[in-house]
Amino acid sequence: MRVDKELSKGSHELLLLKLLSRGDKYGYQLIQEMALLSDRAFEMSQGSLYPFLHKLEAGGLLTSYREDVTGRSRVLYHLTDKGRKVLAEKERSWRAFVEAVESVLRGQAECRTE
Amino acid sequence: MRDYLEACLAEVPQSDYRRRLREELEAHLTDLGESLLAGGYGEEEAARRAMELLGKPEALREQYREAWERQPERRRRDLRDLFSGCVLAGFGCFLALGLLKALGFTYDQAYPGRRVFPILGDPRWKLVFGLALFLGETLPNLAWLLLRFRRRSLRRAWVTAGLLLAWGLEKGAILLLSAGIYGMSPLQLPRLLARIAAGGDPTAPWLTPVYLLGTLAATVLIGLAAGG
Repeated sequence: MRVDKELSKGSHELLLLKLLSRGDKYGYQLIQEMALLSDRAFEMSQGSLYPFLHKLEAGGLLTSYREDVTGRSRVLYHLTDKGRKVLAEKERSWRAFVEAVESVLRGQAECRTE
Repeated sequence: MRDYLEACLAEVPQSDYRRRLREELEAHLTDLGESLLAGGYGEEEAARRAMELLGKPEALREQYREAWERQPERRRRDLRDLFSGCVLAGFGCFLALGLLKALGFTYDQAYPGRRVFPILGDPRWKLVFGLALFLGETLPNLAWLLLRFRRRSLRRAWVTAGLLLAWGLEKGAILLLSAGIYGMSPLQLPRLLARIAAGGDPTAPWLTPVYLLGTLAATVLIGLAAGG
């Protein structure tokens, strides 16, 4: 099931940082992994990915370098220490958000059954 | 694919950032195309679908322009453009001085029998001289700034800042040079201005307090009006 566009927009940073925390990757790999791991629930606009990555790089969360991958020169992105800290913070905040939403939804369900 | 990429990058000027973005998009399209080919698409169909998946050029163009505006390279280029405008203003100033001299404008009083326009002691010629000089230095810089900062957010502010920078540098250079020539401190501004504009052998007879304030106001007004 595709997630609502507006809802997924705010989570792109968290998802990209998380994917990069598992190893350096280039743009196409990130798009593929994001779609694969989320069972295509998160499909970021592919052309928008690069300015987004460049923004994270300008913010010091990522660095980039060139490397030949399968015979082709690629720009790979690497998560910096600052990026890891931001990721940890975003993960905590995301979990708190999900829990809060869940508890409201559960509360609603309980209210209905009462 | 080439036309598609050009359309996407239309708002990003030639720069390291444009090259980088283009390379990344090209590699992405190639990967995507290969994956679609492997999935059973025909060559043309795969290329078309890959471009579709990357996004519409009209939408991406705006995002890439915004991304370019955030680049440190962009800021360096802005500063370089502002100072290049000052250099142009300097050339314009020298050109105007040369032309005015060729037309017969002189600092001294009229010589009998010679067709000259003395600006010392004649407010009309002083006004014409000052105006021509102001336009000579302002217009080339203005044209340059309008060209370099077209389609920019805060364009009016950039153009006005560029004109003011050239105004300040030019006036500052005249003040400093004159202070050196007359052996005066640049901090004694009223005395220095009086010496520059009048008396024996003035360096810039047109540079009066009225001229300074008038050109400053005109510079701001031109920048605000033309930069919008």
